[in-house]
Amino acid sequence: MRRWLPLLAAVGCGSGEEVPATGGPEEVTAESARTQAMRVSMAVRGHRPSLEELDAVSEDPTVLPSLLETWMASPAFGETIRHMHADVLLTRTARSALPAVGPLAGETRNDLSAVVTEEPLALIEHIVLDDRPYTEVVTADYTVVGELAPTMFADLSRESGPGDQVAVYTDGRPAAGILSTNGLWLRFQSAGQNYQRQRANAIASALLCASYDDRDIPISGDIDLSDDEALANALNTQAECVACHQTLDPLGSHLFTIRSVLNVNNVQIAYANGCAGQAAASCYPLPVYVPQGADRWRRFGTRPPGYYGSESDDLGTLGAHIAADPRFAQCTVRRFVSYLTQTPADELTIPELAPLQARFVDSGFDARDLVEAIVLDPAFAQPDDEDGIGLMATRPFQLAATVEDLTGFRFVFNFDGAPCRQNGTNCRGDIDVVYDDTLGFRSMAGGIDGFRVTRPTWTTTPTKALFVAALAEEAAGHVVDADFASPAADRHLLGDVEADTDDETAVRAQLVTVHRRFFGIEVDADNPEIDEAFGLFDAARSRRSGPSAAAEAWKVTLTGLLQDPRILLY
Amino acid sequence: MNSNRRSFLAGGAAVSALATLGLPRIAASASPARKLVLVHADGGWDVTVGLDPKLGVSTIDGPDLDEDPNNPEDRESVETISGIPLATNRFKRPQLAAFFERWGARAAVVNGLWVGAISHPACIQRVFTGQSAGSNGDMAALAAARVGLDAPVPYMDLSGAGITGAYAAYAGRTGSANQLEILLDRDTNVPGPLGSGLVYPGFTPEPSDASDLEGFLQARGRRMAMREGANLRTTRQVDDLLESRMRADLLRSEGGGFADSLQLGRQSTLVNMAPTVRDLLTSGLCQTVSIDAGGNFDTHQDNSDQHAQWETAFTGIGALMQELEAGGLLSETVVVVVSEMTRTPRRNAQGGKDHWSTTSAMVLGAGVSGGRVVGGSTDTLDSRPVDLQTGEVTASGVTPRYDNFVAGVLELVGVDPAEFLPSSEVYRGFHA
Repeated sequence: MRRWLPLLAAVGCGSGEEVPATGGPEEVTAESARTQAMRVSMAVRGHRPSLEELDAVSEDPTVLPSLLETWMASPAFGETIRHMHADVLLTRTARSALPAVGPLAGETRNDLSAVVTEEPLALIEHIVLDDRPYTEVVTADYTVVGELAPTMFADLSRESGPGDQVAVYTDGRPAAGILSTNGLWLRFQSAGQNYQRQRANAIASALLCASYDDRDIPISGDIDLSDDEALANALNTQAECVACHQTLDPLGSHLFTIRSVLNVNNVQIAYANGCAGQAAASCYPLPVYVPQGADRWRRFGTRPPGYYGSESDDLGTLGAHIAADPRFAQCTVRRFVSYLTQTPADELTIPELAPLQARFVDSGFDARDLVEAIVLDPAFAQPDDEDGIGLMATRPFQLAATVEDLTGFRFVFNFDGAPCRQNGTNCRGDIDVVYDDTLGFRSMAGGIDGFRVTRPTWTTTPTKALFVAALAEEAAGHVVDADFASPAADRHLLGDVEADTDDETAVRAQLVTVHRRFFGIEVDADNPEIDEAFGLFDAARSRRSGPSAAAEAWKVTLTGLLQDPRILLY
Repeated sequence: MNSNRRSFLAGGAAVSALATLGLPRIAASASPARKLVLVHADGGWDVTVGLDPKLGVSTIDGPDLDEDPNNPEDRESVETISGIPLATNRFKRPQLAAFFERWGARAAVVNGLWVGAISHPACIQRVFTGQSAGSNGDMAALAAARVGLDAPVPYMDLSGAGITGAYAAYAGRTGSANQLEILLDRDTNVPGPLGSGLVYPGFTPEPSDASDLEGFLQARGRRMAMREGANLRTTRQVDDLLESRMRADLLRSEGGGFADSLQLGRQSTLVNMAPTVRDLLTSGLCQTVSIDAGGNFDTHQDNSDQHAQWETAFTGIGALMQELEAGGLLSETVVVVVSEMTRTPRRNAQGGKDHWSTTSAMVLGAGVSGGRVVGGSTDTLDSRPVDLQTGEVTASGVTPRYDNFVAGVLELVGVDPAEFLPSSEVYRGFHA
């Protein structure tokens, strides 16, 4: 890993030259081209290339960059971008849900949670997929929200249509990208005497890779914290306090125009009180931007808005400062490299990142160009290269996307009981198990829950292995039943056999196709891997009788293949 | 499914990751290998409400502020129970006193631990791993990785937030609502999407298919293991995969009782899960367990809520100790109860308390010098200097830090702390 970034500097960084499409100093073969395509597709889309795409790179490895362009225009890449930023912004947590009351009565908890958790992620996805400069993450004068958002939040004008759509806040809040979204600040709230400092640290950590949490805080008990004046004096005069607060507090002072606390209790109590008087502010649609709060920093004795020593007025100027800060570009590059290569962000050094940072800036903050530079780097291509990145762990959402792509199966629970379904109240809704921790398997399978588990696990664990086993069984059962109930041309996997086919030649031929689809490998029907798989099929079939024997044998065989190490690692 | 431990090795696959990575063999700790239960009092407990009494200290807003003047039973006091001074209120927090009356002789209270941070994630990272950043797992993960590898799943996380660090391949999670039951007991019926009519499991292999599937996966694993050696991360990933799969198979084959004890949808609170903890340790399924004490101590808005949290926590810890005793585990198990921080000496304008960068811990069980307090805090909740070897507060001592404490726990359970915290002096003050 530490050798590949300088290769970019030598070849194409900032020079406009094309980065080599495939491979490195080694000769590119059809096999290595397929392997690289598999890795790149998994990294940017979470699932395998199609058979047609694999054929294309086998014939001509230089088509990979154009395939990548196509892949980066897909919704699947958008989900990868959302997921990447969810790991950074930590917005996908169950704690952000607001209640199903008033005009939102009857909505599911999951749908209401998504209104909040997805807003900043949807905005970033839109910016990247729409090829807009990544700086719009902190400067955009619009947001992107789902259908329920205008009912939940006040002063929000959304384009019509299903799903996520571009929207604008009409309450006069400054243009500052995610910094002006309700979703980000409902995740990071500020209670009591915190005075927006948690929010300020969220900005510094996520956007500048400069978390204040990394520092030791030698608090002295000599300060009477119940005395606001004494506390303010300490924060302004005592060296151990000033060290952080001289920059932390001015950052935080930008956020006094955003409602400090807004949670389930606020809304439920307001509706219990009939939304009368002051309670109205906690009834839907909720006002979140409070411009009259801009000067509250004075009352609390903190510092005026500022950006690391520079003057700043509001969220808009804050966003502009961040966009112009070299640390923002560097941190963005660090986050993208860390995510795509599964390298801890703090292990990436500035000299390593510098060439990519320069390229990113020179490109006009083109995030897709950044992704291309990373995933088409020779060190990314082959997992077994000594100096390469090596095998990476398939993330929970990638497992789900891969399995769905291969089999059409999505692992979804619904625990809503009869009272919920009858009354339409307090329903959770369908639970996609890789997007949920309360009853799903997200953090159990290596993901984060956004609150207590804030770092993903980039390796296999016993629990993950158990999850993949269950997923494999369910998906295998689903695809066999679904495929054999469909015409051959419409099937996901088993287009070359029928439910009662047990002819060895036909089964082996089908297994060859399945291995191409699953693992991107070209093998003959008498290859040892096909021998293994056929052995599994044959043993399962021989233990069964009747017309469904072969179909059941396929279920067992696909259960095994969906747990192949190459599903868990790529 | 009947799996041979390390069967993939018998099949000729790769050698262990440790050998491959060239890590040195670890020097044995002086203590025998012990089991560890790590209990997290989540949110930052106000130690003056329990383990570090400061009643009558003018610089600290104590729990006496919450006394009901009309209820003569609602009174705070400092009681020394089993040699340990405690803030007690037998009306509001009866379980705290009851716990120490029953178990105090086995408990060491460690006061005045310096954490040096005030955000939850930063403090949790420090207090549980001994590092402000890095690849250490928490105490339970580290202990499992060194003295627990013979167990099918050396570390079982019942809290949902255990830090596994570089040792994730040895760790299992039960899930916040015991979702692991669905994965272990594939006969567990779970409804599918709304309107689908689907009830999982849709398909499970027959028992007669199991050995063929296992053989198939082992063959695929051996082929994957042949890729080890060229690239360091590939080697580690493959090794972790094979290790994890082997341990998952063992958990399935040997964890029937454990799976039965999980109840899907039941919250993994300490009271609910204490019998499960006992079963996990007595059955040898794991070496270490982490779990939440229950409740949440993060009382920014109203510090009187601390009473209920302490009561909940010590109800659970008491249940845990009873289960460990019933399981004959007390002589070989260490229980660590800790919160990531404490709370400010004074209350804020809302009547709550904010974050403070010290904390207290309680260590019980095997190898612990019970019935005493080590360390201490000032009347403004700063750490007092201590002799780390004896736990005695002394002006010539050092500030006891989170890393010293973690090193002390590791040594207590039979792990050489120098491997994980090479620059940290070991806090032995609570060792017998």
